[in-house]
Amino acid sequence: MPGSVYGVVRRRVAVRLAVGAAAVLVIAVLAAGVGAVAIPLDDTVAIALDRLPGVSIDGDWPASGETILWKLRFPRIVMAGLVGGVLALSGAAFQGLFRNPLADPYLVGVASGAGLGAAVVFLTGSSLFAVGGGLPIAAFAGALAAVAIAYLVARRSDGLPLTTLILAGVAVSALAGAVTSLLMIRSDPSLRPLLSWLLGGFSGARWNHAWLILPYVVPGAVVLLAYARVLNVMQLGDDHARAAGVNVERTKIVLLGVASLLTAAAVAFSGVIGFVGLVAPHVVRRIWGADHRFLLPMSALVGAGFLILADLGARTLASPAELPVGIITAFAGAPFFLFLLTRKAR
Amino acid sequence: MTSPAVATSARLALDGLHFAYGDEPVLRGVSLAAKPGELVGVLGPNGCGKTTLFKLVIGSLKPAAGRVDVDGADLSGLGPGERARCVAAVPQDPVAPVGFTAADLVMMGRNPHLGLLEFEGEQDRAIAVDAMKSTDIIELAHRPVSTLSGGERQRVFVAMALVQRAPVMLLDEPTSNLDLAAQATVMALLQRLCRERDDTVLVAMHDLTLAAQWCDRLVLMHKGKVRTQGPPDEVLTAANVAAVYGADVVIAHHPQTGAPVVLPRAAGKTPSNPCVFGTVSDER
Repeated sequence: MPGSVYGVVRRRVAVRLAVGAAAVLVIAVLAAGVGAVAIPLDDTVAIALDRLPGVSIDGDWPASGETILWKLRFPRIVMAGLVGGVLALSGAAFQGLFRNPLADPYLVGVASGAGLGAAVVFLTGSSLFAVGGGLPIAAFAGALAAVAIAYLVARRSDGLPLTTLILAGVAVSALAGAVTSLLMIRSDPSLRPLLSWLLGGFSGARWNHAWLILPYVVPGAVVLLAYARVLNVMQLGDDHARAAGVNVERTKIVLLGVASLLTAAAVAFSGVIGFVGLVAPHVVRRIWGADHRFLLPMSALVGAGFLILADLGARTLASPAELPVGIITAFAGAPFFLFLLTRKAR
Repeated sequence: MTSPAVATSARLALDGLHFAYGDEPVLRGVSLAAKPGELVGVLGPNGCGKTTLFKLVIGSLKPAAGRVDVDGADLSGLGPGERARCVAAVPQDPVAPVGFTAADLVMMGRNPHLGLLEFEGEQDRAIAVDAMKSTDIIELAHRPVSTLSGGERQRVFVAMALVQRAPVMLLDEPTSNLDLAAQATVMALLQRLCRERDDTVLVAMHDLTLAAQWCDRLVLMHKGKVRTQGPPDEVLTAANVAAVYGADVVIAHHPQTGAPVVLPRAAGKTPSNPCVFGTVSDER
């Protein structure tokens, strides 16, 4: 009897996540072959596998293909996948924490804080996208500073009222956004690249960017996934969750802190990419339901696959020019989302 | 029975609880005790402190003075998980989150028994199914909670509280939005839990008559204090109701059980037959 009520569902969940992960891998491999220089699928797979430790493949692929894949496309795809996954995961956590479907990873000031940090770097002329250079660090610091200010303003002695936190985040965002706009208008030539950075992109993606954000992404994702069941209980409201044994105040602080840290790490290298963090969790929720133990990992997979595809569009649609990936995510994501809203929710 | 002596045999004992929102005192020394297997109705007008009292027991609020004991152990030092293993609660108008089935919701009650990275096991599933059977919601297991009727939903929340396996359960006005049949179903369910599992259940209620029919004991609160507590026919007198609610009532008695039935006094009318459905005692 316990099996018939609970057993089937769990097997189905595991299968769906496995299928989702496989789909992201397939999208990544297919996307790697597309571009100004087309690379056949078998070469792409062989080149990728050849570099794995302990694997050696004999093949006669052109050396230029290997260079293009390893120096340009693979790091780009990996970064797009990581950032898309992180934004969607953080978005799902924020929506669950705030019990608000409008929440996205930028709700409490991460985006405008990062934008202001980036603007300051552009203005002072630090080296653009250099690893260890000013831009990612300033964006990361600006993002976390904005969230910290919102948190300190909203905090009360007996807890953290989430409505106050949202309002504080909106106010901090408006202030940082206003300062950024002022800087852009006052000193136009040096801040031209800021606009395209704000819209986000992966044209400068390098392997070491991925290595730099992984120390944030991996533990952060583990913590958010560990809180998935607690996030479910939090949907009942603070008092009921507390009655069911949830340490409500600690949960709020951990989720806010970790999701903000993850988002800041993603934004530091890729700029402010909109829509992924809002839409991916909604897609998952409307199709498969709201259990965060499935919603969080599946949102990450959907976000990763979606952003890899969006970046493919960004580098191929207007080739040889690049489109900001944020424009693609909105162009492709918004109509799909509108279509989804016309359908009956689960 | 108005003496709030905290008996050692008490399952739940509240001793001298004080609480204030700012300068506004809400609870001014509330003491009461409930035995294992007892269904206790907590009554009183809006603002008398019932909900605040429940929040203190759950741990959402901290008392300015006084203590809450379960089976003789003080709850104040316990963490949220340990506390939830002693006291389970269904708040007033609980939220039915979108996208969760009844089975999902019931399983949430296992939360205080599971570590952060722990998945529920066979034993947790068996406990949840057992609770769904005893609340008669097993057929609703795969229905989204947001599509259930008020009475069905309330039974799901009771099942969720049950799987916490806490010896004490609190429910804040579980019947206030239910129709006549659903009210009786929920109250009968609570009574059965007390009888069969020896649980102690505290129910905050507005319907005095409904409380009198089902509860073993009533606690009548007034302005942050317990005015009186005891068996329903001792608590629900016309004098007590008038003092607490400012309402002019007559007390009748249920023709089958003899439990008190609270009726508004009909102004200026002399009924041709005052005992249509039982005895009306005017002098109480």
